[in-house]
Amino acid sequence: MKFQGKIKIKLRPSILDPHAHATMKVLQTQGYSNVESLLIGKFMEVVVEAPSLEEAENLIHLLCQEVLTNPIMEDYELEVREV
Amino acid sequence: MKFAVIQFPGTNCEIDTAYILKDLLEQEADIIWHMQDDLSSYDLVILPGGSSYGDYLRTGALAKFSPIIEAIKKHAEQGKLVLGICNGFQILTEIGLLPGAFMKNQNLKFIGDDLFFKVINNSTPFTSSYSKEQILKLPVAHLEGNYYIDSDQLKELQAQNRIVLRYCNSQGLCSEQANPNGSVDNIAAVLNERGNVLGMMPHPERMAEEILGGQDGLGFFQSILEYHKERKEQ
Repeated sequence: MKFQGKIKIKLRPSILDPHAHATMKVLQTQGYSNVESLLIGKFMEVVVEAPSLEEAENLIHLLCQEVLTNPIMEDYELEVREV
Repeated sequence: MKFAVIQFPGTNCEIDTAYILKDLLEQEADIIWHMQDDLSSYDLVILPGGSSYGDYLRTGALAKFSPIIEAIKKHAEQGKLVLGICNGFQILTEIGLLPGAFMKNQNLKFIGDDLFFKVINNSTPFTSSYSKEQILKLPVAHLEGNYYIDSDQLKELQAQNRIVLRYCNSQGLCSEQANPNGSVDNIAAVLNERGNVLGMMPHPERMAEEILGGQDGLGFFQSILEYHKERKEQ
């Protein structure tokens, strides 16, 4: 069975993201004064072969923790579905 | 003394570093491709600057999986010296030999400039030829030099005197204005707990000859040689 994982990676809340901060300032100076916050992260899609949904989730969590994110500064959210 | 200078795809300071060691200091130095997995014949390992794997994913994140990394970890476990310069420092944090992580510079600019650094700890194998609080002028060249560490680990670094260099101004003041990239506590170089692994953002190899603008960087290499000599005599 094939499963697709959608991974959203963002900087941990305690960390100031200079990218997002600069971009938000531009939005505000362009008249979008309602914008209160902006987050810029990474989005990844991965397809894996696994015998079950649970095992696919475990595998992709492992990929996230070991390779795709740096837990010191990044958090991630994962959604997995069969494809 | 025998140095290994590690080369990943995208490394670009290995030749300068090997030049300082071989031509200037008359030591043995080999450039070691990252697919090799044995460093047992070397006294010291240098991870030089550059953009390993194009800095894809995160700086140092893909270099982490090269075969040479296990050999570097083994080298460090044996108590031998490891020096990471710029991208080398970033790799050392990714592989867990040094704490913290690197983000984009706070002003989002690539910084290529000569900056001032204060020697905070001169009782390390890498900095013994400097005096405490000596001000050094050294070049930096980085986009991801914004060193991040959480407050508990920062306290630990401070308590254990493991911050080796801090960004300062020409008068030695480690102020916010003198912080070029947003690094926590103006940190520019960090030592591991055991004291044999150093990561530093400035490039000492680019400031080791008068023709390059000064020799403030030479002391790092001289300290290492002195340390090695003393250990041999013991």
